[in-house]
Amino acid sequence: MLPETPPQRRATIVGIGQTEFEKRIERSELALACDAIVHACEDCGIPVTEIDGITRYDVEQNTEWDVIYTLGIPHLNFFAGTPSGGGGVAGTIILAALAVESGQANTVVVYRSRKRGRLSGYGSGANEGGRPWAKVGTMLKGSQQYHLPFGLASPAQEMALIARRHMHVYGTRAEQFGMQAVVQRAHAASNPDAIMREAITLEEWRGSRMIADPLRLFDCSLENDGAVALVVTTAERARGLRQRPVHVLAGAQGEHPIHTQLPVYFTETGDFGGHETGGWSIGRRLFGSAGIGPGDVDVAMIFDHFTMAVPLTLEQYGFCGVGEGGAFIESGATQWPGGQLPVNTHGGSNGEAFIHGFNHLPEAVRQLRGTAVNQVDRCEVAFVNGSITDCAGAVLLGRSAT
Amino acid sequence: MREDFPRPPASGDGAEFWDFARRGELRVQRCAACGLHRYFPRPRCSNCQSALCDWALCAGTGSVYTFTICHPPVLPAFAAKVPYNVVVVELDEGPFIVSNLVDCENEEIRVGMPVEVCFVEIDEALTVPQFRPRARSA
Repeated sequence: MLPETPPQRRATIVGIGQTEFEKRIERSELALACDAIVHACEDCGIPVTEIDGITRYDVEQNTEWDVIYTLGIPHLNFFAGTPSGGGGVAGTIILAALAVESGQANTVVVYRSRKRGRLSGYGSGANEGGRPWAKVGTMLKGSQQYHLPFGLASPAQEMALIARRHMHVYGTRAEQFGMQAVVQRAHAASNPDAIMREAITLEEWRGSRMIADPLRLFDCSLENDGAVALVVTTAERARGLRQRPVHVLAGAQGEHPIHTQLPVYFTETGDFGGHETGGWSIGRRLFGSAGIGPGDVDVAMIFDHFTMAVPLTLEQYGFCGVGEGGAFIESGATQWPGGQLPVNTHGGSNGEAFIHGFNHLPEAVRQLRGTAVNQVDRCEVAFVNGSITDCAGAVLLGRSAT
Repeated sequence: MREDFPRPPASGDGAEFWDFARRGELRVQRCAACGLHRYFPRPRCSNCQSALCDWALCAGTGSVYTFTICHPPVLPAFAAKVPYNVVVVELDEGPFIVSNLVDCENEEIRVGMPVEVCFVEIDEALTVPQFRPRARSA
């Protein structure tokens, strides 16, 4: 990632671990986090006690001290969080890679544990299980007061507003979001880890109930429990471990005055008037630092809290032209097998599970190792992003170091 | 007072906006230095960073920029209203505002339709600015 990093210190992902994904798991979020971390360490063969760094989402409820106390990790040299929601998919990996390459830490574990099943709320805090937006109460804070008294509360409703504007400006059709839902459910059908194991048709998507027009139930991510962890270390430490290392080629983040301030989303970065939105600058820095282009990417794990995020991300990062994301999906380009850019080959957030997008990372690693269930032929470069709005970011991962 | 309704805080950067709404006025901040209208309320101008502003009375007219129709799940205070609309209105002064459209069937809502503000009293403590369709020639 860092241009001056000597080859032996370059960041690699060597271990991946996850729990089962279920609508409801009886174990605590901390138990799930530790299970995923232990599995990730077993995957690569690095002892848990060798971990000397932790990076996490700052909405993650299981802190670094919870983890080191539970697992008996003797000392951390580096710890950091990345703000906001789904952007943490990329941000945590970027932080871990920077820590490893700069020498602040040698072996960093990155994790996300989440209980979002409908019955899994375990506290009154917004992020303590269940639906954060439904626990807002009646005493509003900050920008909430400009949304909630009008009934705009859930992420689905917010994203529906963005989707509708995109449809208006570019002629994108709701069915094109549905086509991505169908594609991902087909991917999930062959993935034994997926919660949703039955493929759906576009007709079934059309028959799924409306949540926030134009978004239907089958456009939404699942509400489930589960945890995912990854181990990031240097290329030197990666040598001789159990798994082929996956290289962190590049990472870029961006924060814009958007999302929780929807009016500003449209005025400042997202009016779809043909000018560049937030993701564009991230994409340019991402591909620029890796020295490759969107056409070099073999598989994409796209943050898909709602299917509408997929066409917008494809456009913002240059995988297709502005306003062409819907048509790109309709052409079959995002499906495996056969698509020019298979997207969310594990089934994504509406098929495998929604772990805040974090389950996209192990799938990218499996694709680059060559061990994915829906394996892309000659998969050399994977794209993984988090969020299309606040604190967005993306990483490029490679089967080879360059 | 409706106990279940999400309520703006009594103090902070937005308090004046809600005070004006209770009096039936849609006012947004206007930068004293560069003249930019801004919403939602913030302590400085995002264009020139000036901290000086006044509260400009808006014409109350604008157009629908985008919208959604909300079905369950929704907040408890809105459960009896489903399916209800949420609109983003582009005010003629420039800012965008999240609100609802009244006097209009959900099926009739279109991006670009002209609207004008009206005020809906939730209870004695809270009035929200909403919008209704406006004849294009008005």
